Amino acid sequence: MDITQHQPSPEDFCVTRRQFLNRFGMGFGALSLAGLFGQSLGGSAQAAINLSPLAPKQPMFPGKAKRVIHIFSQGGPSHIDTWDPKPGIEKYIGKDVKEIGGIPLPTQFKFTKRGKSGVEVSEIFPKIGDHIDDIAVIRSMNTDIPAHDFATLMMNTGSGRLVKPSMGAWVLYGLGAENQNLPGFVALGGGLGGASNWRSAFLPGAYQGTLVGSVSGPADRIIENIRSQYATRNQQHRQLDLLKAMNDLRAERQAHEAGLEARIQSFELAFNMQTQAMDTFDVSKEPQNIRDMYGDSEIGRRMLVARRLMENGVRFVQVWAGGWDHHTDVKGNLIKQAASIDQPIGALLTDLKQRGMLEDTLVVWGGEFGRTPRHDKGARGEPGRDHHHRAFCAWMAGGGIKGGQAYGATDEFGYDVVENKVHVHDLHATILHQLGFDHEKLTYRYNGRDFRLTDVFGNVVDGLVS
Amino acid sequence: MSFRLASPCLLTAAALLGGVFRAGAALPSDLAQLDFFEKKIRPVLSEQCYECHSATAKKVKGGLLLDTAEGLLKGGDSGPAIIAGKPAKSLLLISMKHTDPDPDLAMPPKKDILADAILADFEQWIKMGAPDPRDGKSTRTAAWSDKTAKEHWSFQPIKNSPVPTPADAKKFITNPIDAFVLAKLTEKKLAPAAPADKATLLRRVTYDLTGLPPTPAEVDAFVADNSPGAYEQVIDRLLASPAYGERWGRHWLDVARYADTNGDRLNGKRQPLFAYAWTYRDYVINAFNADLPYDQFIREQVAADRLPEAQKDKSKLAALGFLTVGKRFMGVENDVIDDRIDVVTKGLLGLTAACARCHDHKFDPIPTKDYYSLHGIFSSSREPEEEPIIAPVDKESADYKAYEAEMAKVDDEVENYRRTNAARLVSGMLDKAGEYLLAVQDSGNAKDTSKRGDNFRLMARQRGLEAEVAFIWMDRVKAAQKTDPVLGPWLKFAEVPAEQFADRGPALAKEIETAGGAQPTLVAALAAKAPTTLKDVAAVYTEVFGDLRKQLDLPTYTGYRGAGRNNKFPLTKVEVKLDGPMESLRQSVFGGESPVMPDQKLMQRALGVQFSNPETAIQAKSVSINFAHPGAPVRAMALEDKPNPQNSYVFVRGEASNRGPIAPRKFLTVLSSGNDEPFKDGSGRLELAQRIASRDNPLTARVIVNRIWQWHFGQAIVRTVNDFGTRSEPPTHPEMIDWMATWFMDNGWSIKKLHKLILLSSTYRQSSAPNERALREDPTNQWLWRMNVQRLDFEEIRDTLLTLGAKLDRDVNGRPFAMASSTASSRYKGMVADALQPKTSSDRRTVYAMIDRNALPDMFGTFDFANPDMTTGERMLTTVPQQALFMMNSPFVIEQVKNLLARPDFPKDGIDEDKVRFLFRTAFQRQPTAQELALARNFLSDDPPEIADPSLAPQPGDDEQEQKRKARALKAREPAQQLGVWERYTQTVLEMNELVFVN
Repeated sequence: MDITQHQPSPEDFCVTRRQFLNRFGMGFGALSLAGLFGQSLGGSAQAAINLSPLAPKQPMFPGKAKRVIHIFSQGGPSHIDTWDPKPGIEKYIGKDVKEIGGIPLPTQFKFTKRGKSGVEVSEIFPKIGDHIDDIAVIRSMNTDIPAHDFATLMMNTGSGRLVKPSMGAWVLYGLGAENQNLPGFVALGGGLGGASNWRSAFLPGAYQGTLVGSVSGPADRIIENIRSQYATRNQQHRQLDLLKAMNDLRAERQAHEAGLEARIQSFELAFNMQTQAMDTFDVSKEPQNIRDMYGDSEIGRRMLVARRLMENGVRFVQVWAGGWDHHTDVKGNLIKQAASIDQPIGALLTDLKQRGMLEDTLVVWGGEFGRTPRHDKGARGEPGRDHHHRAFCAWMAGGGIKGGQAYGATDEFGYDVVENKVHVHDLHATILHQLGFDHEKLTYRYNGRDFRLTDVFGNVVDGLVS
Repeated sequence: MSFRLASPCLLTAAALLGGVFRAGAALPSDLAQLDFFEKKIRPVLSEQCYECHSATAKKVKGGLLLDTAEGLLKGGDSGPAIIAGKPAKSLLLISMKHTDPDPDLAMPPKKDILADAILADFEQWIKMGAPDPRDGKSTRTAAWSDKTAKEHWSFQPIKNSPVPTPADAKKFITNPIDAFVLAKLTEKKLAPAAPADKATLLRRVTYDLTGLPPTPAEVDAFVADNSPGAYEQVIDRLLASPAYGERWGRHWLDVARYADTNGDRLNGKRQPLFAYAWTYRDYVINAFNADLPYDQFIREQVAADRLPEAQKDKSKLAALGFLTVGKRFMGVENDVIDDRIDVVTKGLLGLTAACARCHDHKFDPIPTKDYYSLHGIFSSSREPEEEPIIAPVDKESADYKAYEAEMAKVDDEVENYRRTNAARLVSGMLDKAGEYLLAVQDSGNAKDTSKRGDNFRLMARQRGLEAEVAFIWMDRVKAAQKTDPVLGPWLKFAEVPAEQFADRGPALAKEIETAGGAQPTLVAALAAKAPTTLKDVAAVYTEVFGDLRKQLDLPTYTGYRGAGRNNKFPLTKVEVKLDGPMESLRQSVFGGESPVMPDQKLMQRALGVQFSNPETAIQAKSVSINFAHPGAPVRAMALEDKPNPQNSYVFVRGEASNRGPIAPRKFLTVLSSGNDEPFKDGSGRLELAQRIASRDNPLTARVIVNRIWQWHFGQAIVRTVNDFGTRSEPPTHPEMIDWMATWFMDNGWSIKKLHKLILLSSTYRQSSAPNERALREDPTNQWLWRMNVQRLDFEEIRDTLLTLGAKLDRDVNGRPFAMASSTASSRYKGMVADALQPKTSSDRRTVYAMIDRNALPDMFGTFDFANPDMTTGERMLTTVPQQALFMMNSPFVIEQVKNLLARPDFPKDGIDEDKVRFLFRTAFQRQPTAQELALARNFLSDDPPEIADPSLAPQPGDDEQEQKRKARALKAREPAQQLGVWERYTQTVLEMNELVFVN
């Protein structure tokens, strides 16, 4: 935490309960912090953030997107089998090609032009392909190191080794949460690297992601302490009435200590969070046709929960849909893996669209890197592909993204990017831009430095933005 | 592979410069282009141009600065020096080529035109768009090159400030601290608050020094004691309590970014666990309890291995954990060194020196070269092969013997694993001998390269062979002579053209048999087979080698994947002699020059990480045993000097491959006036420690005094506690911090004496009651017109609840306990925690909880625990509903509620009012008010029965079956462990603000 010369206004500390709620409470109007980013916060502003860290805030400029679903296919999905067709590779079959360090392994999948835009989509994604006119495929992604640990953290925090806050934590810091009764940043599933992928690092702990390991179990096991095993709702209500009455006996003091007020309020929020969180995670509340559309699988339920969370004002949801590390049998494995996400993601896009939410919900799909156009030399059995960081694919949809296009290009093998390179930092800059932030100015001062998601890098990819 | 280095310090400058900066800056991902700049362009600029066109120039010519990207683009008096992409229009190149008639545009002046190659490089570079990583404004305007930065207050010697003498009508001043504070308050037209009442003061000082609540009896005794020394006696009692070191040690552990794991994942090779980090934690706790002088505390933490004290007392070596308990960054050494530089400079000096890793510090006088001076010190230090034992080991104890047995089990397991896999490997090579030979032959016959190299590998795999084993066979076949008793016959058959094989094959077999010299079993089998194709020959090899495999009693080849580790196979059997001619085959196969030898190297080559990863995973178990076993010897995470210390080079842009000038190992320049000599003693770590722990160092004493002040008051005098550089907050009481720093050093760097000085001041003893006028004038209380209200932190809340439940285990020191966490996070407990069985009570103080960087239970973050990955100077205090959920629903809190009501001193037979009084006295050390008693009565007496669902309410007409059905359904809807009304009341009392706020 850092305090600057900003002189806080006395009103920030001398407030009545009512004034306090008006200023900091949820549903009582947003706390506008535009203009405060990029410098350390004054005593009163910092205090306000600490007392109500998740209050909704205005971005720097009106963003096209209000919320983000990041579908993270960890493992390194093969780009030339999914979103970057390479027909030219056929003529090198059987040849040891120096440029790619081995013999090329052509894709076994057909690509067809889909939608009005005619962007080519692999046959393993028929349902996602239905939405191609809303999707901007990025064929020119690249990252720094082809190792899962490093690249996963790079994708989720903008730094492969150093300890940085996660993308979701930055977004929550910037925008706050629309609904105080739910965590503002939820990670569904989880995977390699664990909590470092949704940590808040040096940002306040309130911005850390809440992990929900599996959405297939009973709804009350999803968030730590979300449900009382010890008292009914009515009994809890009586407890909170008593608590408020006892705390109010010291109201004189409270009027001058915002921290005391904030804590009282946090119990009220917690009480509501119990029911709302349980409801939101309970997919059985959805009509059967909607549940059928997403499919009866863990990933399907995760996508459905993600939509319910978005609908209920959660700012950032990261859906983990891993299992893409196909060193062997890339064909068989991809058929299985693509099938596990195709229907759920197709349903998510359909559902967001029919609810009018796709306009301001940014959906991002991708892994941490791609896979080699040659077979993996170290693997056994049916040929697979090795890790590859020089080129891979991701796609974005909704939230002001210009759909129906394939952005950037790789060489004839899919080995190197040759046009419109998009580094992970550039992807981050673009995501923040869609939310209304200049990625160079969404900063947080910690130990004398102004940190940001994109470190000292990143450019907004204008071609992706409508 | 080039590692991109994050260089976060650039941020501020980038933000300041905005578009101007970005325009000329290269895309960072184009590392090749930047390399080009570093190799071809920068050296020329530096050698030929900087003399007149840089911040270091005596006089800048033509207003042109070439030492930044911005300078190049902006240009000088004649306009921009370069136009990216347009060499012909770039003045820089024009002047370098001497093509302009203007003699002033012939550069470098009075010298020959530079070599053509150089001009070509510049042309190419400008064509590329002039990628230039040099960021920022011209260094001429960088803050720190300015004299004012070096004159920054914190770099000046500590002044023994005179104590002011403000008018003191209310007799506020009890010691000089009060004089400084009162002088400031007077200047600001404010007045100090009245003293806090005694009960409040006792609660405040008890939490402050021990992190635990006082007992009601302690409060009563203090309130009743009107002797003048009563308060001082309390302070002495608290400072003498072991709980003091546990509380204040934890403050220091925040600074030391303490954790029990290294932040990497368990991936077969690396074990994320630090088996002995806890010995550093205990060292810190014990150092605070023993009031180890702070200067000595520093020397031990930075260089204990070089101190004579540690020769006598090995336990001092644990102090080096200060350097070693940081993250390990997947083994990247320069990141580890960076972490150590960071903890030393921020933690001890309040300097953000790590900012100088990639470029000179933007704001403070810390050039990159200084960073690499420190880098050399740490790269000349290493962790010893084996951590030194720091406590006596009783080899006769049952614990130690059990420990030895556990470790022996791991050794056995490793041995078995190796043998099993070696046996499998041999089996595979024997059972498929012919197929390997054919694969080699097919590759050798191929005209093009398509069956060599990578294709050979792929082909082997597709034939179900191990590619790397196939390469071994290939090597053997290539090296073999036709006289080789085993491979010789194969070579002869392989020469026969396929179309002639049917004719010549059987005869050749006879021929070989007659000639003699070849292995008899093989020869006989070949003759019997009368092969008509090379495949027939291969089949014979497979058969004969397969027989050998059977005779050796090796298991059938089933592949290596998922090979069961527990399938024991004693490899020694391979060396057993066989009867008859098979023995000569065995010898030719397993003898010196044989095609297969099941040694470690071959296994590593053949099986790769699939072999070695599980092996190291088994070996890693020993780390877990060392970590958790009560009989494991106690060791220190020590550091030692390397025998041949080396200076580091500056890494240009922070990249190790980009060598800049050499940076001799020495102390930071800005703190070295009068003594800037390089270090000479070993790595230089001891000298570094001495220079930090010195009266002459202007920062050390100020920084620690400021930290201690903050830990007492909840806010510091210099609010940026880890940053005393030019961008730090100015001190609110500059004279006081200097006076205290001087007093502290004069008093032997004693932290306990400093505590007493502060705690005895009237400033500390003020009431925290608000005052409307003062709140308006000074809402953040920077002038200290009252005491701050402070909230308990995570450890204090948990320890308090355990104390109230009378369950707190006061066992001090020792191995960490794994903190139980519920539901969501328990499913995601780290692999490390899963591997651990909690061997010590989990009711111990929170400071002893295992800190797993990878899997810190959610609660730590929710309650703003210090980030274990970086030095934490000040904890956040956020308020979020998850904190309330913990109080409302966590099993831990409910357990303590039940414990509280089960205490032997709980008046369970008394009337309700007695019980309520007991709860208030225990939790808040005060009696409940009449209103509080009334609220309690109301809550306890009016507890309506729960009807979860009206449709399940009993109706008059219900028959017995229906009644039972409703009862069952209701039961099913009840919370699993529904609390009684007293438990719910007690829980509510513990949820009160009063429990977690200290006035």
